[in-house]
Amino acid sequence: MKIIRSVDISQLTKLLTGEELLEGMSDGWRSRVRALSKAITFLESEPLLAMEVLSAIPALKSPVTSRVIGVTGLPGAGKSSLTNLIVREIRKKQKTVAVLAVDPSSPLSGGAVLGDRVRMQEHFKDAGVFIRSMSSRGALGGVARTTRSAIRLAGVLGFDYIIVETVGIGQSEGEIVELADTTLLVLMPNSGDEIQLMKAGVLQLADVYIVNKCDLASPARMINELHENTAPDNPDAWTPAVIAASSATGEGLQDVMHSIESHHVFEKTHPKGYEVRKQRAVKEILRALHHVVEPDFLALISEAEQNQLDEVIEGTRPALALAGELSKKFLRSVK
Amino acid sequence: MNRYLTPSSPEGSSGGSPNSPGSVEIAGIKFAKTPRVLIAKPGLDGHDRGAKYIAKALRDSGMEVIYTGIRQSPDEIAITAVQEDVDIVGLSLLSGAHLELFPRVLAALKKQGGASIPVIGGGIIPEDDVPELLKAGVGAIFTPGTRIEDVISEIKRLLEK
Repeated sequence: MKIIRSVDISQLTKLLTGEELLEGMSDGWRSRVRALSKAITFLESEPLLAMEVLSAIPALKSPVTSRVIGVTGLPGAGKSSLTNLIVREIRKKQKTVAVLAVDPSSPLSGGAVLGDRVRMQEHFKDAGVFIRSMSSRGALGGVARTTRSAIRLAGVLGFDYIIVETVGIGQSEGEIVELADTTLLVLMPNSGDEIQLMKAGVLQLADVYIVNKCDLASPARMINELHENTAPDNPDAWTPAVIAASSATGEGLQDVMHSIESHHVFEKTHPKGYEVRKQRAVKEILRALHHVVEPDFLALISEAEQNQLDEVIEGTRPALALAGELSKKFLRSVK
Repeated sequence: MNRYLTPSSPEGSSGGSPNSPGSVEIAGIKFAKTPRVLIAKPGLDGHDRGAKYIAKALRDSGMEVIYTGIRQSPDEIAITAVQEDVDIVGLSLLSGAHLELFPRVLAALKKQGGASIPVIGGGIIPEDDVPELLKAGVGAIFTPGTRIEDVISEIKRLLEK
């Protein structure tokens, strides 16, 4: 089968850094981009090997210089169109950018139609832009399980910016803020009244709030209510920017770019900024731990006595209780 | 360090299930991983009902389908195919320019480092033109009325070639 089912890690490293070129390719950058796209596929298909691959790449030992921007928001709010415009602005400054666009997988078939690219056609032939569509593959946090690893891999190629566009989200899918340095939340003028904005969840998490499509309806009420509901209690904390924008007319775009820059400066210079990055790291480690031990626990569950499983199914034993027992068993086995 | 990691190697399986985690079954056919398919519309015709139909049908069969939108140049299609690392490219064309555009997509793929990606085509394509397209390197041609099961088994055949 032509689909790559194995990977030579040391060769992959050389291909990603450009030390070696893919067979038959003379353009170094093109070869690296091809290697990146192959590497992302490999980690998507074999998530358990991500750890091996990522820890074997020497280039990953130097600090990441790419700036990661998350774009999240309601389905149809204009995330892809806005991303397209942000990419255009980034390119005007001669900076390079990778876009990881996540779309949902079908809960029925597991398949997906990945269509975010359609809004970014103007950049297809630009060698400074890499666009990769990712299926969420059943993950519910708004991004795919492999998105974090894909960010790391894109970082090896030294993209100045990495934009992660999430699936269209509702109220609680906030995983993006664990991955991105700056998260933009894209809303619409009629996204809901103040009660919606008072609710907890992703509405509390973004760094920049964008009321898009303001050419279609007045964003004034939404802007006011967002200001009221997102202003931090702590005067030292980042005050989220609230911007009226329109992907159709370009209104507000410069404000968006400016906010991305100011948030970057805030995070790098303000003591609170370090705190935020530390919290993000802790969450990432927790999530990674889950991935690392999952296969071992799956094995433990499959070894569990049939009657224990039946008790959980029947409801006579809480799943939490069995989980506790399995966890103790696991810890004993590694001692 | 020069190691190969495969799902069947001890490092790869690391206590997981005996089946390789990436493998999927689609319409009764087993694939080594979830196939990624690019559905693209080269040239100038803007009728994309057929392209959208096939995209949805393949999605419902469990594949990941990337759709480019209409009016794409061969270079744009090839660059997209490479960046998305698709396993196969499906071209939909109703304008009659298939003899011109399909070979140009194949050439562009070669230039972009995607020479190994098979290309299939569909749309309004006269029977008489099919042998020439196959000879030029197109993997398969589907005309209106093709059953989706046949497309899937053809994709499987091309991926195993």
